[in-house]
Amino acid sequence: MIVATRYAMLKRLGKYIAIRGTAILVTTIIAIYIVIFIANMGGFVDEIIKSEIQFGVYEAIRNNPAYRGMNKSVIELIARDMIEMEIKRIGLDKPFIYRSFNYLIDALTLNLGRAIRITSASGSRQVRIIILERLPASILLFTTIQIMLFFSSLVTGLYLSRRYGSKIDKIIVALSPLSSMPGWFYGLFLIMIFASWLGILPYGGLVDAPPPEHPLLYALSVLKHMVLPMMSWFIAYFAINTYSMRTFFLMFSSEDYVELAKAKGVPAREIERRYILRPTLPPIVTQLALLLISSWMGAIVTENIFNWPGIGTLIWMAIANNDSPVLIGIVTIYAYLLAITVLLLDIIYVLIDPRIKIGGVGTS
Amino acid sequence: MKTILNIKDLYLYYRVRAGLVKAVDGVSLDLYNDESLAVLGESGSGKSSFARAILRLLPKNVYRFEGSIYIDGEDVMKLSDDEFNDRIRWSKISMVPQASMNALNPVIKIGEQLAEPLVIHRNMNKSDALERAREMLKFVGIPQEFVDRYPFELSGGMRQRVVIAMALITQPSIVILDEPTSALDVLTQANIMNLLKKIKIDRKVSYVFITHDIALSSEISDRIAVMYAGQIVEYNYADKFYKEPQHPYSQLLLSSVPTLREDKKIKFIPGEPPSLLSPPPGCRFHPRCPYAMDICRREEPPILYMDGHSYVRCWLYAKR
Amino acid sequence: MIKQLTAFARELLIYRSALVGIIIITSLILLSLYAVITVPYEEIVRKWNSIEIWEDFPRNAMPSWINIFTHRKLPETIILDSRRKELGINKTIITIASGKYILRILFTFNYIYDDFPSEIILRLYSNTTKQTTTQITWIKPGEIEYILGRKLLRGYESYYVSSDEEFLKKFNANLISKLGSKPNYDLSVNIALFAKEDPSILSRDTVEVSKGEYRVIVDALIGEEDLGRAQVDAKLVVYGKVYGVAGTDHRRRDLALALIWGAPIALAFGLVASITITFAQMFIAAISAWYGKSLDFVIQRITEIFMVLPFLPILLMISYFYKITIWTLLAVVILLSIFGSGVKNYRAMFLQIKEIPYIEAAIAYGTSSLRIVFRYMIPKILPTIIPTIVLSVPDFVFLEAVLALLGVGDPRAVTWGRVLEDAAREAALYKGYYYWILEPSILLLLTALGFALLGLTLDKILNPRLREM
Repeated sequence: MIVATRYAMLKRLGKYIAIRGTAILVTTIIAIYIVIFIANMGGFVDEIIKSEIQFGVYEAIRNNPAYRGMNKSVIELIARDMIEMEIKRIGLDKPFIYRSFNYLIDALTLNLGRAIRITSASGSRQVRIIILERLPASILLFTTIQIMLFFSSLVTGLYLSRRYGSKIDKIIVALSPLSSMPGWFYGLFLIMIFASWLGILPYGGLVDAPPPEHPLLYALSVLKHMVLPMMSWFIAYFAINTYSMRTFFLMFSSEDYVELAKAKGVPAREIERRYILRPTLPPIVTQLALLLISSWMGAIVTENIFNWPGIGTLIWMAIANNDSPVLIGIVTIYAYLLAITVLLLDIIYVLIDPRIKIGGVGTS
Repeated sequence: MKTILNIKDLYLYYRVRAGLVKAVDGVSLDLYNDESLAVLGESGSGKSSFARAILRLLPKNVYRFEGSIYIDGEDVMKLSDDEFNDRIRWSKISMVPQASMNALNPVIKIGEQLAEPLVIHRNMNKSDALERAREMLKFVGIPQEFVDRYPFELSGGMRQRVVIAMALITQPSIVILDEPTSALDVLTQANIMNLLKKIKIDRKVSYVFITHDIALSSEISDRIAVMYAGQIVEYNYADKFYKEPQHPYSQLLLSSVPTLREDKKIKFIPGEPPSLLSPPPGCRFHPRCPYAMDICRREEPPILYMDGHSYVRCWLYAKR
Repeated sequence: MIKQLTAFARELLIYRSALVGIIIITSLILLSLYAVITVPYEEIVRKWNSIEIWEDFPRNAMPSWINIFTHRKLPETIILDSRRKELGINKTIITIASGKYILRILFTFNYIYDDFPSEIILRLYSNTTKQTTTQITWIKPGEIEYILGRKLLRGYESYYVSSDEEFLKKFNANLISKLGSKPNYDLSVNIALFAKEDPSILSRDTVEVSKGEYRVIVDALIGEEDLGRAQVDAKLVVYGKVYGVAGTDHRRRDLALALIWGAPIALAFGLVASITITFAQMFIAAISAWYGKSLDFVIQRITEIFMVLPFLPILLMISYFYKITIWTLLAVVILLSIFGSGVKNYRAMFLQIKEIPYIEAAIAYGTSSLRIVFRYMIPKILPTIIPTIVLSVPDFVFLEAVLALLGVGDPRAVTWGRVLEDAAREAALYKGYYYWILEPSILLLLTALGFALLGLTLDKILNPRLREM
């Protein structure tokens, strides 16, 4: 009997994930299509493709022994013909809708083309490689920041909800307007104080220059460089996150079942864990996911200010260098990241909220 | 037959922004172990605060909480919070709250919630406790498989039964029921009342039944305490009460209830219930009392015993 | 209604934080009104993007109130224009030989500051294109005279005195003969023309300003035939190091202009975005919750698509590719946001509200859907969205600043973000022009703080759950 229900539940879960996954996939496809549409309204994606073709054709000519030693102008003519042929073949001369559809497929398969000026550290011009090379730095910094913020504000918020109206509670509430300024704003001042004036922490960058050889020293150097960006985000967001967690827990601790648990004589620790924390997990996890998502966005300016070699600085470089393929590629990857996060969030939700796990009667 | 509950001069005041709420203002009563008590009162009379105070579920910003509460001979007011939590809560007294959608933890299975008091207070291991949980479910008329279900899978009436089962599972001597059926439809209400009656007979448990519904209280109680503005104004045996209510408020209450057989003229009580923040001076009921005398406006009537266990708080009876 | 509002206002004002917030916001509104009333927007944009208007302003000057706090008084700009009659600049004609005359312009000024000017520019104007020879003489206090050079004037000539290398060479040579050695640092013309010529000049730490009366003489050689017709004028600008309330930027523009005018734009941007988006999201959520079924489904899918679209990168992409103005930017921001996550939250609230009995009753007695949505559902949710509106204003104000900082904002707009961008691009922090960064930052900070304080207090009051506390 128990085995049967377990199996039924798994089947149900699987079906749910499949449905959500498909929905999100469709959503992502549409979203990326919109991105391409916007980008190509000015014909920029066309330009990218054209330069790809040109590159490819000249490469082919250079590598083809049959064309060695020919007159320059003759080669030019041949090249131009080949390019025209390619354009026709790909359908670049076809109407806009047709083209965008092709680009969509390219974008979905992460075939993002070649950068105009920017190269990756390994020397490749491929946009995909350039982006993927810089992604880890961003993820390292911002995921760490978000996770630390999340857990510290969770614990503090829980602690504070038990001491509503106490002095420390009032302090946190008083500090929450700090969040009206974004993290990078404090970053500017932190740099002024700690790097410019006191000189004890670096201005920016990922690691000391030249980077230390020993992996442990390297890691420590990276940590040292992470201090100021993390501080700036903590100053901006710790108070407000703690405030909203605490408000959250306050609201949930006034629930009837919490009072009944108290009446039941359930020890305070247990109440906190099973009656306050457990039911609030779904909305809290949602918050975490949304925070993660927004952190990758807002991170752009922070990365710039701290010269952190991640996606954020890449965007700035792309803009400064007029490198549209990179810009479009980044936006595409962002869309993917968001979609993945949303899907992960859905899966986690299913696992922790029995109302969705079981489904049926009284789902929200 | 022994006195299972004896409350003497219980006070509960707490602070709100507007001032001091005198929710329980000098309440005394006693109850034998084969009796059940109904606490009757309007909303805002303090009856819920009183019920919760017995279980030491106090509001924030308590200003004054004193008195004696003797449960089975022991003054539990003298116990520390931890001791009270350990030995009294749910061991000796339990509670069935109002039939809200929210009395059960939505993310924990019913069986676990039922078993929890046993694990905490009777030191049972989990599987034994779950067995008992299954038995209790059967007792209150819910299929045993529901042990593995979540609260949202049950209807309101079923949830209330589970809550009742949960209140009984540790076999406490006293169960406080705070308007247990007010959020249910009439049919379910009837079912629950029958269940409660069955339990009262089978398990020999004493109820403290808080309600505003006079008809309901007549079904299940041996004694009636009428609460008004934080005080008990009449405390009497049920049959005597319904035949001959003493306090003017009780009289007005009973005459405002339509009866099936009589062609009664319905009277309603003029005025509105007093605020617990600033109750009227003297007898709290005097602004609405048809018999109000001069002394009623000036001085609070004392507790006047009619026999060893019943009393009334009214100047009308002070002449003796 | 009015009674409700006054009761509410009184409750709000109990909180000190709300009071501070309201004061800040009111000040900003007053500042914006002042800006809008005194100078129209078009003119500001024109002024800010022009060059000629700022000709006589110093470059990268600090705010003049700095002088209150330092004992070394920094110089203000001195402008002497012979064309302006009210200044009473002395113009005389001197005969030097028959048929040859000198038109002499005499500038006199008192230099009382403790620091040297940042720049010296002399502009010469004549009303003919005939080549006129001019000679400029500089006389320091103590009758120390220098001939700065001869310039050929043809209509208009600008003489950048500060970059006159020739003069510098001569001056250094002069110093060597007078004092025995040359200075141990790179003397600038500004210092040379204003320093005390004693051994103190030899070291950067000890060089002092020679305070007193300075005379600058512009002599123009004219012939007989031009006498009476020839008009030669000159404008001497001794650029200071401080200016005005807020100082100037690298293009000599008075920062106060941008700071004051940034206020209405920031407020307008923030408020319009915030109010429009919140209300739009609310309407969409209400309709989605009320009409249900297929309309709800479509709206939910659209919302999810927008949630997956990365907001800032797309905004960057659009502003980069399509060169938009600040108001188009506002429209794009709004468009991208109205199907945001707020829709999901409000929809959940509306679904709950829909179940309330009096809504059912309203349907039962035949109220139209639109009326139900507007008169019953929306007012119920209004208290919860007001804090949201107030609290999201700073987000949009900063959004505009971010876009400007990243270089994709409206290049002609006059906003705090633009000032920050200029400062960042010119490495203001590195060069020590802290005021340039601090001034717009503090304004941004105050704006954000004002709305945050008010918004958080509103949240505390209006959030129904918190009210019970």
